[in-house]
Amino acid sequence: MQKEAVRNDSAISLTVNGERKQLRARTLRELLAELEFEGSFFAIAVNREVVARERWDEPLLRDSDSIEIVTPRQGG
Amino acid sequence: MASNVLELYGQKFSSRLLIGTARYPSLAVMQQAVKVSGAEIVTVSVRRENAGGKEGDTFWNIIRELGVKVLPNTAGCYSVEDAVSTAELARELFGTKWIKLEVIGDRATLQPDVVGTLEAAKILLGEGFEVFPYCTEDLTVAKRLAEAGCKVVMPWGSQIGSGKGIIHDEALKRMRAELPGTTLVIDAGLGAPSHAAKALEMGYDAVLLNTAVAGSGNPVKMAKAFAQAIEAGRAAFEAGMMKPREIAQASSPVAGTPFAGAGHAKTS
Repeated sequence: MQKEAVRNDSAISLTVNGERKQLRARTLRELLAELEFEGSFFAIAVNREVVARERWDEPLLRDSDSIEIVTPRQGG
Repeated sequence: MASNVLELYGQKFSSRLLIGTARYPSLAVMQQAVKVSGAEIVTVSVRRENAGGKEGDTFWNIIRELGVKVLPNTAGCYSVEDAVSTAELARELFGTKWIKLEVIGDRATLQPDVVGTLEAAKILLGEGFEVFPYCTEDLTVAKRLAEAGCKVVMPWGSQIGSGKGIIHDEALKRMRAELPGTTLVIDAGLGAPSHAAKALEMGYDAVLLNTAVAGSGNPVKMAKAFAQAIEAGRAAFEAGMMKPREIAQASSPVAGTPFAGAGHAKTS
């Protein structure tokens, strides 16, 4: 993956938890910040592939990616 | 005592109750009920976070305080693909290889799709998961799951949340007899502590329940009642119950019964 010298911050179309949004984020950490997520305990999948926390600073987001952000919840 | 230990994928537990964390009147009641139940394992789900992370954090802090082991589920998945992806997210989130695998086949009965469950179990076992599959009373399916490498198999007692108890006695007795080396857990459908006691009396290794406690009039009190019933049921199984008889047999000794052979008393 080629790193750009200047961050291209034009919006791309991302589907986050089933909702389509125009966002500038390219990394998952930027995405969480842009969505104003304050919690600390998430797991994230991009196009069904789980992305480990160590990779949240990688500029891996592409236009029309589908992202699932999940947290623990009550269950039986 | 070795026989009084529940073993799940090599880990040992003294409680034979796995308890759900959903449907309680409040998180505080849930926390108290789990404590009182003595359960060392709780089931949880993973869900989309739309409240900025606050919803998940609040719940997770309470679970952490309990100091219990977490068994994440794939509840709500209707396809192999969704169940596998959800399991992978759960592994990342909780840092556990354990997964309660649910692939549901019918929206009305929440009956497991046993074909999809077997397929998903094979994929997840191949990825290094320790799979706890939720299945029906079908013996062949349970055998296939065990053969695939599931060390734990979890047949339903009856439909999820129905509270009807164990309605397939004969099939589940057969399953217990046919799979002596597999840890068997009755999951779903239990309503009363007596249902749980029955499962343990039948030789099932543990029970997994949620609504029976959470939806009761007093979840904390009911959690205690289930803990006691499970203990009683297991003790009865270990002790070995008497065989039922077709006809009566006097409990008290017959020899030396007073008035024996003295004839009937006059009644008028």
